[in-house]
Order: sequence, then C-alpha cells, then structure tokens
Amino acid sequence: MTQPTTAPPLLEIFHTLLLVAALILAAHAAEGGHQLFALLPGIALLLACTMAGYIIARLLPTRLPEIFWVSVVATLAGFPGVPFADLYLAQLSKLSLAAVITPVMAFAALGLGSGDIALFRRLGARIILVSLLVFFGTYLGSVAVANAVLAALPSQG
Amino acid sequence: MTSSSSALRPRILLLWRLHILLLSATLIATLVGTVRIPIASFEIILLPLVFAFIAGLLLNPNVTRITRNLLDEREVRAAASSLGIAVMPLMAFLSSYIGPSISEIADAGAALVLQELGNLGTMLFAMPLAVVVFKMGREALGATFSIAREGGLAFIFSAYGGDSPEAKGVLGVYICGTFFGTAFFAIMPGVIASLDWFDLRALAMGCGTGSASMTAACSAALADLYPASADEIAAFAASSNLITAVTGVLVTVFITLPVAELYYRVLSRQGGGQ
Repeated sequence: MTQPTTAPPLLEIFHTLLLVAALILAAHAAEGGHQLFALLPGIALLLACTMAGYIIARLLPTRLPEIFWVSVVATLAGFPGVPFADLYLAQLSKLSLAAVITPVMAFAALGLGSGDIALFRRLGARIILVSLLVFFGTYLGSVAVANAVLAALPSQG
Repeated sequence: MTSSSSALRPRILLLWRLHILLLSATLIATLVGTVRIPIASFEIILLPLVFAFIAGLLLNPNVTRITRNLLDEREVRAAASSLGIAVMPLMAFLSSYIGPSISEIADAGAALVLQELGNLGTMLFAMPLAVVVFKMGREALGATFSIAREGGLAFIFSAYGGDSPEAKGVLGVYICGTFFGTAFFAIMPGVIASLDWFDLRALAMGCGTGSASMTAACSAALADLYPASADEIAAFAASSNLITAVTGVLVTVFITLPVAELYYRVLSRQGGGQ
C-alpha cells in the first residue's frame, strides 16, 4: 500500500537493490552499444552509495529522510578532492540515465494496488486533474523564481 | 519462528513472476526508445520511462486481466514497497554530478535556495480548479498546498490528523504523484523549455522540487534536449532536490501553509457562493 510502513531490514533492502541492479543491466543491454561487464563497477558503486545512505540514516539520531543521506554520500563520492572521486565518476559515466530510471517506472506501475484503484474511483478524475496542475504549478513556480534570481545576480561565469 | 513483520513481507528475490513482469516492462520500454511528437512549435518527448509505466500498467492485474493468473496482490504490494528503495540508486546517480559542477552551483546558490519559494506556484493554478470549479472542500487545501511527497504527507497527517479532509486531499495527490507524476515530469519540462523563456539552469533547478524519480525524469527530459549540458542539468536538479529536503519543512510551516489557508478562504468565499 501507499502508506509509509515500518522500515524494512537492511538485508531486504540489499536484496531489492540486487533486483534493481539486474533490471538496470537489462535496460542497458536492450539499449545496445554498451559493454555490459564494463558497467558492473558503476552499478555496484550506486548500490554501495545507497546502502551507505541507509546505514547512516539508521545510525544517526536525526529524522532526515534516507534519500537525503544517499544523496549526501553520492555527492561526497564524486566531490573534487575526495580520494578516488575521478575513478568513481569515470565508472558512473558509462551508465545511461534513461536505463537507470526506466526500471523504477516498472515498479511504480506494477505496484498500483487494488486499494489505490479504489481510492482513485472515490476521488474521481478531479484529483488527477488537480494533481497535474499541482505538478505544473510547482515546476513553473520554481523555474520562474530561479530564473528571476539568476537574472538579478551578477554572473561570475 | 518468523516474526509477524517478515511473515507479512514476501522475500523479494523469490518473487520470480514479479521479476519477469518488471523485466518485460523494462525491456519493452527500452526497445521502444524515445518517441518525439511534434506539435506546432514544440515537441512532446516521450522517454522510455513513460513506456515502462504504460507497459507496467498493462501487466498489472489490478488494471488489465492479462496477468491475473500470474500476479497476486501480495506481489503487487511487494512492487509498491520496493519503489522507495528502487529510486535510491537513481538519486545516487544524479547526486554524483553535484561535485564536478560545484562552482557553477555556488554561483547560482541564491537562486537554488530562493526557488523553494516557487512552491507557492503549486497552489496558484491548482487550488482555484479544486475549489471554484470542482467545489472541493478542505480536501483542496491538502491537495494543493505542496507537491505532496513524503514530507508534505507527514506534515498534513501531523497538523490536521490522518482522518481529516486535508489528509484525503494530500493522499490523493501523493498517489497520483507516485503513479503519474514521474511521467508528467518527463514530458512537461521539454514543453516549457521549448518556450525559450528560461535559463537552462533554472529549468534544471525546477526539476528538484518533487520526488527522486520526478527529479530524474525531468533531468532526463532536459538532457535529451541539451545533451551537451547533461551533467550540469543532473547536478542542478540534484542540488535543488537536496536543498528542498533540508529547507522544505521550514518553508511549509512559515510560508506555504499560511498562504494556502488565506488563499483557500478567499477562493471559497468567491467560488463557493453559498
């Protein structure tokens, strides 16, 4: 279901990540033009950053979401001056963003439960239209503000 | 003995029927590839992720009958609960490009922090539709005060209670976001970018306002239009997403929610007509 449940054990997270890794590899294979063995270190590094983020989130007594820590770990791994950052980025650059994101959408679509369908029926098509305007307004609002600030700031580039 | 929580949770690696369907959706989508539909002066770009979503829906036993003998509700639930884990490598991938672009990001630092105020745009169009056209009540406030990701959901639950109309509204948009939001974020930025009104950095920062998969879909859409700037786009989108995670709650409490309450009162007085 869609409600947040209790946190899954780390081993189960790792198992799920193995499945995700296999799907990412399959997407690259279908895309063509990749040497699949050469992609393995990059995929393994993404899994390592993810696991490290989960572990940090559990060790620290903060309530910041796990995704925040995953993002911080990956940012640090590729940060200039951090040991092996160049090596890390070189492995990642072999991966295609499209092939990393496509499997995620398969999870989203196959995870649509009967309860979700029932809630949709209750809320009706109205909530879908309202949601689309929510996404549109959020994106346009953020872009407009960012654009205005960038235009007002003296550029150093 | 197994504990109740592990008994409720099927072991993900044993659900081979689910693996086959996930693999099928992924392969079909990647083989279809990127489809461009030109409309007037811009084009709608459909990335493989949109087709993965469509293929997944067609293979979902709750949507069509094709796989009703293959997949049961237990496996569907396993896919849904894996979604939150499956987005993590994606977030790691995008965040890795922050470092190489750090000087450009520092240059745009003020824009990155202030664009969080752009969240006021969330309710600008959506709340009038919900209140004036659809005559929704307090559900409208929950539905349109934020982009309704986990933080917004938790916030409404704690501020108004899980049974409140506000909670129904935010939950509705949350579910739409999980299932349609990413596809929408894969299509919309390309259309807005083709208006040629906005700095590419601003377009990339706007990508970070939603969930990880929305951020990634939006970055992929922009990268498809501007392949030479792909790394910079990922870096700006990921830093914006990171900053949203930190400042989001403050902006919600002190700015977004008070403004949403005010806006709701004005709209319901005008449009309610009671």
